[in-house]
Amino acid sequence: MYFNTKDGDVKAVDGVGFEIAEREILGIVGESGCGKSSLASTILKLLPHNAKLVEGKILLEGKDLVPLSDAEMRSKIRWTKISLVPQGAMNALNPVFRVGDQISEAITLHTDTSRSAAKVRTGQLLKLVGVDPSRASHYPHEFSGGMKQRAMIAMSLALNPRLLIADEPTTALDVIVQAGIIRLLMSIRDEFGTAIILISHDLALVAQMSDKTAIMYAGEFVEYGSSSDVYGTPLHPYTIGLVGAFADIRKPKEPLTSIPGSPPNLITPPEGCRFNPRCPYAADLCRSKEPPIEEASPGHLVACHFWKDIKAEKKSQEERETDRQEERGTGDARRGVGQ
Amino acid sequence: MSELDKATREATSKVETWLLFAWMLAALAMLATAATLIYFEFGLALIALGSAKISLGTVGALFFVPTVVDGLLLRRAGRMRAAALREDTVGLRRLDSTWWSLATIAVSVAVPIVVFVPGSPEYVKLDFVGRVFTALPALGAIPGIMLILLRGPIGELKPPQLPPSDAILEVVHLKKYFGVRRSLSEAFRRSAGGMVHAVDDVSFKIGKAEIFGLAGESGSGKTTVLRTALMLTEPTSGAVIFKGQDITRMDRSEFKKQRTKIQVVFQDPYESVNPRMPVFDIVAEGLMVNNLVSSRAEAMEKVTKALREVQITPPEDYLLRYPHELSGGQRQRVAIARALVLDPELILADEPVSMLDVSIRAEIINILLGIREKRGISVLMVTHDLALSKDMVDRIAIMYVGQIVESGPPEEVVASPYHPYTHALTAAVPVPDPQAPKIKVLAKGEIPTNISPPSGCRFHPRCPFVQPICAEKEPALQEVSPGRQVACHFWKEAHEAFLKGLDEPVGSGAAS
Repeated sequence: MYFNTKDGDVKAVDGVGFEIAEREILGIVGESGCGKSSLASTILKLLPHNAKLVEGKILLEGKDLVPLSDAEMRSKIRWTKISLVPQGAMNALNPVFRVGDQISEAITLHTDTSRSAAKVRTGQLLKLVGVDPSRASHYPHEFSGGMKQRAMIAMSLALNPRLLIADEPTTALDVIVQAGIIRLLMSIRDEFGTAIILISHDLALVAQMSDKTAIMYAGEFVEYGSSSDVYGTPLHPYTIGLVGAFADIRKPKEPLTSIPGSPPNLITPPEGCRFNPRCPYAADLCRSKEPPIEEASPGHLVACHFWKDIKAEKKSQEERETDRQEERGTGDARRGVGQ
Repeated sequence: MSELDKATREATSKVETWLLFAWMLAALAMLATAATLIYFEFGLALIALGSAKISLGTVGALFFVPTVVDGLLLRRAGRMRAAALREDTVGLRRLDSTWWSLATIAVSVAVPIVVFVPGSPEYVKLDFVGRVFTALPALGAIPGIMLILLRGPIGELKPPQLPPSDAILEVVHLKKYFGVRRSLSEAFRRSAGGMVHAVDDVSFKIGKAEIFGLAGESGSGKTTVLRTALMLTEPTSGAVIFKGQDITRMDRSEFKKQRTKIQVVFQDPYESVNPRMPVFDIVAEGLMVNNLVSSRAEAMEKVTKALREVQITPPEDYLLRYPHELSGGQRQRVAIARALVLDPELILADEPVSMLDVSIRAEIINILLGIREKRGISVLMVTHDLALSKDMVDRIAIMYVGQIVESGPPEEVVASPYHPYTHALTAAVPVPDPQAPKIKVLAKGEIPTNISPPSGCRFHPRCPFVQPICAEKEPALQEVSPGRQVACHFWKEAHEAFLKGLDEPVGSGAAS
């Protein structure tokens, strides 16, 4: 999917492919501007007029969404099949309507439900997401940030969608509230079998929630696989950089590493591998040829020329790491006794 | 409550009683003057103008000015009273001014002198009743005199003498209440009205070259503490001592000199650097405003040095660029350079990386750590990110609804918390490892409002270890093990439960 601008085409999402099954949570991680939200709007075909879908298919239960008209998308797909919890859901509620009415509106507009039945359903939904149903008659400003987010989730669940796209569902929320929202999304998945695409810049959040993880950089997936593969044995230098830059609350104090440089301009992305100007492993090959997507292990895809070298290097490093960790483990045990 | 608080409370309450009288008298004076003006003095003024004995200016000065001054007096007495009611000793002192009181007295007395002195033009024109009426503005002198007499007791509302310490910044019993608009009935009922207890009795010290972290959720008051350290907001009471001097009681001009030594780095580099200024102007502005450089060449030298220190290299290439030509990380580095160029001893960093992408956070943090290393600058860092603060700060204090609930070395506080709130916070932080135990929600409900915080311990309505005493008695922040302080009646029980509840030993890494 490209955006037409007067400076040229912005290649916001470029050659991305993934699949998601029922009951599955796919996490898409990337920095701002990497195209993760564009990807979400592309799936829903909620695109501005200057955007064009250059090629590709969006298959929902085997049916391609790309040729569908706007009206068909509206009546058959959005809300009923796929619904979106938008970024900044806190501001997505209309401040001049009651929260309950906004949820019922979504129901009555898309189905033949009577208003009173929709109201009952609204109450059930609010209860489901952990908001007192009596608050349905309140206005959004009377809700806290976490409650607004819960209300948005209730709304997105209104018509039992098969797929929920949660775009940064917890940014701007405090950690304890964030934990509550995450638990809620997980329980929804368990209860209704809804598939969830979780879009976030927070590596840790995605690790906690998702079964599969995709790492996105400059409009492309650079690594994709089950979460345990991606986090356990990251093979793309960008993934490794991200993991190194991320502070882990459980680990002892250690210096964080950063990835030098900043994300590229998507109008004229770098030749070859888009990550090459920031990559510590970059060689001439990376500057000339775009790396193919290769399967490192079953289901674990990576787009890097040198993933094999990285894997080998990692292996030897890991052996050293385990030695170090054993030492640390005994140290901790000693400290534990001290307290 | 400490003895000190009690003494302050008694003293402010006494002052408040007298201020109430002053306020009522000022109201009376205002009404009387206004009545005189409306019913009597307009006529008088017309007579005077008609006989062309006095000018329009004199009429204005004589009759309007006392009304306005009485009104101002009324307002001032009211504000002082409100300050006394909320025990805002800093505010009281600020409102307290002899010159102002003397000026009101002079103006109030001027009119009677003019009309009562035989031979003055007004004396001739007025009969006795007229003179008495015209003299009514003199009532305004009485509250003015009262305010002067009150100077003594207000002056005594001094902060305690503190033992000298080698701390760069010391915050002592800091309180900041923001008044919610008081209704008239509340003013009469002598209630201070609703108040946002943004910061409620916070004390801490930052040593030289120390990085001190204030962590907490939004609304916990951490940013307000930071703002008072710059006097961007005046505290309600308490003291902020920078290098042995209390900046809350400093003269403005004096403080201006000290202020270059305390610099701030804000959260959002997209808003904190002026988009219409090139990098050189942004960084050099502090030097120019404070007259710290004599020539442009000298400024250039200092600016390039600061830019080099934040790894904007080569600095010459960036001097004339505008912020929109920089990335978020570069902007934040320019903001740090702007602070560094003034050679500060303390940098206040308000969530310096929370707006930045993960891959560039580390570089900003490493720059801040490097500055501390090289220049020995202390840093007060406000953050909500516990994982990050663990890697960066030397000491951390966890804030909850305006109070510090726990403090200590971050690795210990995070790995083995004493306070149930800290426990709840750490359990809610996700870790980048799919195999790790899932995050938990250990605090029920939501953060209470700061307007009427819960009685006793502020965390008690959400706490899993709550006992009846928690609702009654506020736990004091006390040192329970070397370097670690906690404010909880049952921290031992909470800590034990935490140790038992651990799914895996703390410290076993994610690399598996």
